[in-house]
Amino acid sequence: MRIRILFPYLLLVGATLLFVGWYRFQTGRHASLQAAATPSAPVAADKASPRLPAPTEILPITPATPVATTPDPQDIDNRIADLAELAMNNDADSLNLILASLTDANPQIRAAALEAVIQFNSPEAIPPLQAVLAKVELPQEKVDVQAAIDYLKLPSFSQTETTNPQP
Amino acid sequence: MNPKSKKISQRFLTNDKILTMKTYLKLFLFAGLTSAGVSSSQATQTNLVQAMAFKLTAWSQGAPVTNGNTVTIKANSQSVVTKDVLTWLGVATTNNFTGAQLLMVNQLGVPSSKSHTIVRVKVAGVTNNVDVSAFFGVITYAPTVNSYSYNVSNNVVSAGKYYGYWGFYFLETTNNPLLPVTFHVNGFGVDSVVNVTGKNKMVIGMADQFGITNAVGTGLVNGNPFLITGNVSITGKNVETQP
Repeated sequence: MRIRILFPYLLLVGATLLFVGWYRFQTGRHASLQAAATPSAPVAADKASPRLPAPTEILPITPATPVATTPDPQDIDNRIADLAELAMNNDADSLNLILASLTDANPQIRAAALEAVIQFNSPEAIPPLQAVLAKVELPQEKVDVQAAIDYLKLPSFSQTETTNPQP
Repeated sequence: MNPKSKKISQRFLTNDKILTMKTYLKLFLFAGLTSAGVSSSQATQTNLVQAMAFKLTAWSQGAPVTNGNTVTIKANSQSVVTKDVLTWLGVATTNNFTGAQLLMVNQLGVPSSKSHTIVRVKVAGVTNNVDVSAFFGVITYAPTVNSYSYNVSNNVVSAGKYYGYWGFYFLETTNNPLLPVTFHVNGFGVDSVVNVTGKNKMVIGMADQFGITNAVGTGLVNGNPFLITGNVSITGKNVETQP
């Protein structure tokens, strides 16, 4: 009697276990194939372990929380003052620091950097400015950068007139 | 009457004589600021330190170039930036101003305080200020046209804009007659008055952001005349305290 009762029960449990095993095998195989098809898929990692869950499976994709994008006005003022100070130097490092700010996200910084490039007054700044000009999208900024390039092409008054006075 | 403008007498120096500016020549730029604010101090003095910048083009007559029967005469255009002015100031004061800054210093919150133009030189971590105020002058040729507001109960003036016809002079002094280049430019200028905030983001005063754009004038270099055009500006909101 007992065996008659237990046998169907054991049969059901065995069938369920078989089904679960088959299902897990199929989904794991499917994910591995998908990962292999992705160019950036870490193939070596797949070999090391049967299947590592993707980060998105652990942490669902959620929109990034917007961080405060408004810069501190005091920081902007300080950076503008720094750029004005760098403009008075004559070394390549100072020029490079100024040039790096030409593509800053903040338009005030970009304008101050352009002014600093002019005040630095070196023809070496012309090629980088031309590269910036190719990337600038705002029409007024294009005009300003082109004007700065044209201005830097002028010879310096103090290096010509005051050292080579006219007769 | 414009509460911002102040009638300040200023000695104006030319190559051979000293002129006294009449009171109607308002020099509120150099006075620096309209005091709304407050701050100042009990023991320390708070200064507004601004950068003075030149972006000018000098036009001079080039020498004739003869090629066969053709004589070519060209107008030369050359750049004049702040570094050039610093170089000439260095010659006049027998200093080396390479890498120095040309600054305008005003006592914050004290409208009647005298403003100073200084050259700040930093050598090996040591800062030295040379007063070059005597080489510079600003003149207002006409009453400014103003956009501003003020509180009738306490007379506090808010930030605003002041449009005017200004002249800017760079001249020798009787004590330093060796300035290699002198010039003056006139033009339409805008003086934007903005708030100056302290470390705790409280408004501690106001600062003029001044600029003459497309100015025109004349100058002399080694006795030779030239035309000069371009921009002169005095900007910045840096605050420094001094004991």
